[in-house]
Amino acid sequence: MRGDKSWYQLDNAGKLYSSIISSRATTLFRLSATLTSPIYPDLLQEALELTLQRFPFFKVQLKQGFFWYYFEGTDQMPQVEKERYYPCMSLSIKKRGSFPYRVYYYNNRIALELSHSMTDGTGGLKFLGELVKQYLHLKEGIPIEQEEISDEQLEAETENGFRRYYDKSIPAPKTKLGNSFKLPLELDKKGYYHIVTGIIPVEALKKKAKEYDVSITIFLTAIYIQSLLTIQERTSRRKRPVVINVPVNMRSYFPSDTMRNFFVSITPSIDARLGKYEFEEIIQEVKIEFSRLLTPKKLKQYIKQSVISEKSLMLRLMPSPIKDMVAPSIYSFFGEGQYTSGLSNLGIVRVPSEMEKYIERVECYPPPSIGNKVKAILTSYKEHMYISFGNLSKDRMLEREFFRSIRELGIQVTIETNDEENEDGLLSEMRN
Amino acid sequence: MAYCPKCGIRVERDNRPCPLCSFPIPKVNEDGEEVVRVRKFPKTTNPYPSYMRRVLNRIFIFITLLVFVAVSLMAYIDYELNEMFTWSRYSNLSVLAGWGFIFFTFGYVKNYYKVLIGIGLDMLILLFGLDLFNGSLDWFIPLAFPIVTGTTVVAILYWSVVRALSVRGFNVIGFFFIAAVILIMWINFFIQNYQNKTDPLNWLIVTVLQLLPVLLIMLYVKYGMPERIKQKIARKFHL
Repeated sequence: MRGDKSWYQLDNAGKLYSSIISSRATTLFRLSATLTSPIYPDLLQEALELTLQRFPFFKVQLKQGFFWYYFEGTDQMPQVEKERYYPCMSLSIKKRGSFPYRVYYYNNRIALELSHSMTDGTGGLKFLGELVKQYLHLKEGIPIEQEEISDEQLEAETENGFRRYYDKSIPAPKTKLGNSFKLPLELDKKGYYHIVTGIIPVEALKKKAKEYDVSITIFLTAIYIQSLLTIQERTSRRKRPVVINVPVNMRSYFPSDTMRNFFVSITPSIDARLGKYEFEEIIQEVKIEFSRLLTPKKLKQYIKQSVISEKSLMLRLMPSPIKDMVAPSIYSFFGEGQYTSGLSNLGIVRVPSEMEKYIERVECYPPPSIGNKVKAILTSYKEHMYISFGNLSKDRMLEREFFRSIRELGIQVTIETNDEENEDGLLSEMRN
Repeated sequence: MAYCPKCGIRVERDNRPCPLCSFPIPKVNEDGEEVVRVRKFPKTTNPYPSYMRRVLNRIFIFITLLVFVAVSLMAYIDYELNEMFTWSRYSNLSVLAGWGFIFFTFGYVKNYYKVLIGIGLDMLILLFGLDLFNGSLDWFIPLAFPIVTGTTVVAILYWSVVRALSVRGFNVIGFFFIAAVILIMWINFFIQNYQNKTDPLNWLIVTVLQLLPVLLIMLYVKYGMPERIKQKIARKFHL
């Protein structure tokens, strides 16, 4: 926040996300922690209030300015709610009095659903971590240190990382993606979002990735691409490149404490027109692509790219309601429309040892998107990796192909979905 | 814990379809083994239908108020100026008929047949009134009545046929063209009749000549077209 002013600008990514919000593409992603005992709503509410004292820049609401949206500080307090809608759905963050996130509880789970216009996965995890810490302090009495938050620290947590590392003289990268393969999926009705989570032992995955001498991210990206290639083979006569959008957390390359968006997307791809790819070949290509792009020098180019798009004079002079009208189609044409799907890795979630025994699992769900109807996000906690697919369609062709491939490698996969409870109703209706 | 025989993945509950491929996973757990399951997700509600309803209701109430004000105002002005209702009869009847049309299209009547009949009656009343206000019924009986009734009947028949079809796909489009030809020729007949130019035989030949290509195309699609092109068209038009 800027000194005594109680508002701040959105970052580059946030500006884009705020303009493309719709009833389907809510830009909400979910981070959840499942504890070992049922959640007490009163304590959770208290914990949320304490967490907002620690992160005052989250006590804001999205407002529409003349040219851009902005976040404005508020005296209202967000209320925790019992989960009742489909994940990442049915929250209009632009409505007056609504926050750009919400906190849900259900049985043992605390779920934080955040709009991407506010922060990315890393920022969200930090917030969720603090929330769970405060909750466990109230509930189980785990010790916490009383932190004194200095203005410098707040400044560092709200800095715009893109602007800080933006270098005017660096040229933007030349990437031409062209026409990529699209999964033949039909959208389900509004308000529905289908999640499939696969739970995989990390050790087995690590061992398998080591056999190919790559990291788990590269390994899973390669399986993801292979699954998409198999589906293309089966469903489409014309071959197209398979392009995956992989967000990169910039904090690992450019030191920053920011809790706003600070990521860029790289796009590893395999061109199916060149012939049939073996799994080893895919892994090699992805590995080279990752090591080629993931250097501070190359990533600075991507920063440049995401900043210049915001600096264009035409865009800046366009009133924000008009931006709202044109942004969704521009985004689906030049942004997501160029990818086949997205896979992001939130990495390993580590919590202090005194908290660990109260937290059973940590999961995340990707934000729904119309350009890429299926997206996946992975995170690992303790000895498990949780791979969650978010799907705006009812068809699970990609999930099926992906988890079958993993299973064929001899790795155990446990599947959970959010449709089960609703299917129960359907099944009993069918029987009657 | 149970496994899907096709996917090989593990699921918590047995005796239900696999979440990935819908293959029925057999019952493997002993009855005593079944632990009390903790629900992972709530029974979710989808707020969008009721939200849309609320928005539509609000729009409808607003329109109704607007119509009420407009009608009263026009009637008042007309009466003040002419000491009788003259031009306001035309405008008020049109506005009210428009309101009726919106009522039927806003989803307050659930049955499609009733919606079609309702809109047809609405139109008949409007046209009857407009003709009558001129002094005598001029064009309502020979033109408006058969055309509106014919349109309604054709629409109802088309909807019944589409509903009764076992395979919809291309048939929906084919029958649409047939309905369109019949309707257009029906209208054509009454207009020619009004101009005293009717030649029933000629009319019948033209109608059949128009229907023939539609029928031939439908037969070709059903029996002659390669499966691959059919699939492609079905994909492109979401049939």
